[in-house]
Amino acid sequence: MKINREMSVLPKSNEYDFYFGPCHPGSGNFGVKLKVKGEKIISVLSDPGYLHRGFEKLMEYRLPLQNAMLSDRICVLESLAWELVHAEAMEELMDLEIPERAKYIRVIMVELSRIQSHLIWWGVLSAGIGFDTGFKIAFGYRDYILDLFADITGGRVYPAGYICPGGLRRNFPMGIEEKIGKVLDKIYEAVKYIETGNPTFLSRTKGIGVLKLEDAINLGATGPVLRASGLKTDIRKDDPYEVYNRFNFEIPVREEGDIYSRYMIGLEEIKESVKILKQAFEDLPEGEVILPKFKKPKLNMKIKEGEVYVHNEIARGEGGMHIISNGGVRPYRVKVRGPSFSHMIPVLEYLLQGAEIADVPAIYWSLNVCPADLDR
Amino acid sequence: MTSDFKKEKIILEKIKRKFGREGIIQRAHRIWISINKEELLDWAKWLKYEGFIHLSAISVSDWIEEKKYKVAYLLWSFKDNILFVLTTKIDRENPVIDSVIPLWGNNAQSHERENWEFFGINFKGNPNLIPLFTENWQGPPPFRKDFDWQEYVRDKHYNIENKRERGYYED
Repeated sequence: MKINREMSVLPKSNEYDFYFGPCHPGSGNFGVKLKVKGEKIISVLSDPGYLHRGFEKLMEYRLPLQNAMLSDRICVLESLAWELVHAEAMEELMDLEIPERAKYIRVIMVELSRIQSHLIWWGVLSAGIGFDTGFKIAFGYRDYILDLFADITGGRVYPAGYICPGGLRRNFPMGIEEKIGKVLDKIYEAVKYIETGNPTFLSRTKGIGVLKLEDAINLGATGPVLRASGLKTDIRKDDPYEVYNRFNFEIPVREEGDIYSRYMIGLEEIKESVKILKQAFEDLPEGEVILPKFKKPKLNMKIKEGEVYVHNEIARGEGGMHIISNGGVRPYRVKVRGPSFSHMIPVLEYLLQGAEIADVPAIYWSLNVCPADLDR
Repeated sequence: MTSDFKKEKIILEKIKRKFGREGIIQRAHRIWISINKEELLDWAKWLKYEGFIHLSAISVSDWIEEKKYKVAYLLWSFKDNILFVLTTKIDRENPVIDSVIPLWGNNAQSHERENWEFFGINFKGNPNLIPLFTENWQGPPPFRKDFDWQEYVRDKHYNIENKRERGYYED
């Protein structure tokens, strides 16, 4: 057999291009173009766009009730949270005050969504550092919450416009409180697994991917990433929406800004969410969940002229929508502000500079990213 | 929720003293103000100094009848918990505006890149305006109001002769 001599010759330089992603379970639909020297990364370029669906443009062509359904597609991993952002923005534009019960159920749904999203976060971070058991545990426990979503909204992942302008599509089904109680017990079980003291896990996460507070703010980090770097901020407290100002909960903060501290913030936030859920269930009022006008909405319902910006603390950070209406039946312009936009372009590029190849997936997933809300 | 807008009023008072302008308190935590595009950097510098250190997003809307783009800078202050929306109108045919990279760094860079790509706005001073989402895009900036994506997709990708695609041509 003839050996191709040219192929077997090693390149003279140890610099080469390395493409992380874009179609791999290790990265989601997102790519990072790296230039590597040996094991060290010398230049980084984020390459989004593989999941761009043009929602902002699409929403200009659709009615608010259709947009409620579109909005949950913005991020697969926390569809309910995005529905809430859209519904709130529309309600602010139309000057609507929704029933009390709907506000409480919205909080319950969004907090359940936050827990399942944080479980994914821990799962993919574990997978990113080669701890596959963590991945399986997280996704196993997440499924209990998805079953609840199926019971309540009819859809496991996509609730198809459950949280819509004017309230909620339907009331809680019979006996759901008990079921949620049981699932919360399961979440405690999951939390015990997550509180790992595994030395391998610690050595792969402590002191790696450090984001200092000053850089975090300059690069536009929000949510858990910013809190892990040391700023105590949470839109649920700073700019309260729905009924969050009636609940007692803490904002977990850490100083280090490394992967480990981000992971610990996620863990603490799951516990805080459980606290909020319990309080919400204690105070849950009876009554209607949707405004009568929206039960059978008219298709030619006009949106009042004006513009609003609504932002919520979703699991990944600041999720916002800037909606402009010119008085027509459709929004004139919708701008979606996804938290991953800052986390996956400036923050990721900054953190990967000078890192080792093996730490790329760990740093990437520690930012709690979702390519879907970046691309929109 | 009742609020006396204390923090918002302090900011508006400062603005009145510094720039002689009236802002609008839309509700608690929201201030809107519109300025001329030439003043942008002065305002941005002052706002950052006043604590609006987080640039949430740059949101552009196309007002085709007025022949203007409206650029909105959404700024958040962690100190006062106020969202400041700074809006300015620029010419639609020759959209040029100063870059805010000197103030909000790489975060502003990527937001400007997005708006350059979708609306064709030229951010003066941004060194790296390259496509973010689209690849080999030949058409006009896709988020402009005069760009009809349905028509574009029909022309470029569908065939009226094809039985399965005929539905896209019926309105």
